[in-house]
Amino acid sequence: MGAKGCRFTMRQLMELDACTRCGECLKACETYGRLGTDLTAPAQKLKQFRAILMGEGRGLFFSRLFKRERSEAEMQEFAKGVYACTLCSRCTEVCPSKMDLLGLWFSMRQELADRDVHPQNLNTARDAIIATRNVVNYPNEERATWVDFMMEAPDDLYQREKADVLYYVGCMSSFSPAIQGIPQAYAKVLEKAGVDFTILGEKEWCCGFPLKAAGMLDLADELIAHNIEMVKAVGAKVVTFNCPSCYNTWLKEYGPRLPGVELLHSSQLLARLVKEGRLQPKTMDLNVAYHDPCDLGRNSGVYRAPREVLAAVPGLNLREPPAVREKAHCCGGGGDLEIVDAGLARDVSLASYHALLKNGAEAIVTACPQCTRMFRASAQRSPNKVEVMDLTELILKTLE
Amino acid sequence: MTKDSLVFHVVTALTVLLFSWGIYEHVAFWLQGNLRPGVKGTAGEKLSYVLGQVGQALGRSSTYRHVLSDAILLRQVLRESFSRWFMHFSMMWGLVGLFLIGSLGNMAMDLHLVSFTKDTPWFAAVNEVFGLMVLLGAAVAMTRRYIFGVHQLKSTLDDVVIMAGVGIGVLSGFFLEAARLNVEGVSAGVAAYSFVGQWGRQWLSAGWPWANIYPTVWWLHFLLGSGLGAYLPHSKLFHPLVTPLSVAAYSLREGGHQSAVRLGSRNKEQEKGSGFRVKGESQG
Repeated sequence: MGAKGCRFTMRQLMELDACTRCGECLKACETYGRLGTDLTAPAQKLKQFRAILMGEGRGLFFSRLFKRERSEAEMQEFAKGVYACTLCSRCTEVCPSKMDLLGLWFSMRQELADRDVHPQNLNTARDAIIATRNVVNYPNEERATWVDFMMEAPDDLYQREKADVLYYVGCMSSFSPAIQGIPQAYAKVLEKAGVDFTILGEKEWCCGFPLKAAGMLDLADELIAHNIEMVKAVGAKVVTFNCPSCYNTWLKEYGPRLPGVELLHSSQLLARLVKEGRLQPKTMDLNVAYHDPCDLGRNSGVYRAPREVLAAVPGLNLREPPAVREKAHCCGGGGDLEIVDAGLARDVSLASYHALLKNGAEAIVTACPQCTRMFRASAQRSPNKVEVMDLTELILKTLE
Repeated sequence: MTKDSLVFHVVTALTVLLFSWGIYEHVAFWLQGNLRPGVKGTAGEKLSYVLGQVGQALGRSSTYRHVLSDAILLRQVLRESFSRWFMHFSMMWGLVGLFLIGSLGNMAMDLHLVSFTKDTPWFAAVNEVFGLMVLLGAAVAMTRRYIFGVHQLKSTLDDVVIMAGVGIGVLSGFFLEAARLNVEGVSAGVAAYSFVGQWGRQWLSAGWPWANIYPTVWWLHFLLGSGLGAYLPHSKLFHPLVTPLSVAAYSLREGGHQSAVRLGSRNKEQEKGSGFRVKGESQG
């Protein structure tokens, strides 16, 4: 195994043997569906990886007798397939052996990064995060510039010393002009609901998800420690997120170190505010399709809250696509795929975009800035152009 | 001890040895993993952890529920495809039945541990049914794989070896049964319970030396069965032994015993109030 030792747990090594090679994961895989190569087939990746370990003499007798270590070029070729994946978990959903395939993919990426055979353009993201504390390599001092562009922003620009709720904005929402409307909308909605919240501005550092997806979670320790300190400094009892990847990363990597702090995705907080009567959406006559973001739905189990929010809007008609909830398609934007293979990410996105419109929706609503960004780009490429909104943007529209 | 008996015991011992070796290789491979992510653990800690997990799994009703529905009844496979479920279910339970009742039953008979014989109606009929299940399952498997060419299936040499071995093994078993009924002159009334063997018997030419053919076919069938048994942990056929473990591990994850969030279980969304304040209230 790599220089840092084995990256796999006993359970994960056992799961490498549990694959029945039924091929259901191939039917579900978004990238395999586009490329159709063994390189990207989940079952083949498991089989190949086990063979790699066996070839290194990881077995007892026969594998030590017939050792066949892979060359660096072969490992890099294998790594291409492992990273040609959005980490959407559709494969995990359909696996009849109930394997935690998502966990296996993360561990495999760690193993490959340890051996330095990962796609080298991921190093750009790594270096950016280390240097600037954000994945887009902008000065972190500009993290809250999206507030400057708001009409009627408060004097303190939402940066308060103490607050009950910390709104963790995330890198993409903070810096990407295409989706800065999302944090603007969420901030306004929280204001209208009378929530005492703050943002961290330049003190917010990347959550570490791009590093985790690259197989470099070890490098995120400093980020995690810093962000946790910030939560404690603010005295927040709740941390809320727009970005499901940030939310899921905080649940898995931060949550155990923040006892007593509630982590809520924006859909969950909005659902609570609607239930408490602090938000009363007005009528909006529109047929919408809701897209379940992978990191919110399959990977965090949140399906009900966004639908409760949508159900609270009078006149809004939810036209669920054929593949929904656990079976939802992927926007193509996850798993660092945009960094590794932007063209493949766009192809996956376009196919999913069209799938969402199968039941006659006039607009797409999702609860993820990355999904919003990907589908807005797909709308530009598609002859069937519809509006794509984040849930917070839709709710703000119903309040104005 | 006769020469035949010696060969039988040697082959059986070799089969058990190769089977056990295969299991040992797998388990030794698994034990090279970490205790938990980032935590290596000593051998003792790993053993303690594994025993702890086994204990937890055995103590949870969800383990039995998941193993029953997913590993035994193959519910998820049925949801995706009836033909795949039928193939899996028939082959798996046919082979399990043939081993537990057929092979072990015969051994028990030879050791005079049981009172039933090969011609006892229930024993004869059950073995026929299990054999047919395996054959039907194998036929569906080969049709899906080689005639319809289901895209998601990637055939390897391992698949060919297994299907050929299983198919020839079961067919040889039916042939063997027909030959036995012939050689032993079992009456039609008794032989009716070995319905496939009895049906096959009518095709066996009276002029052939069945007294010699029968033992040859017996050895072929025995060697095939032993070969498959020895090959099992070194092949794709190992997965039926591991999948229940994977399903049991899933049931522990689902209950929050491990950190991964599982799909389909609809993780309970946090509903307790956070107590966060409306802006303007004092912090007091």
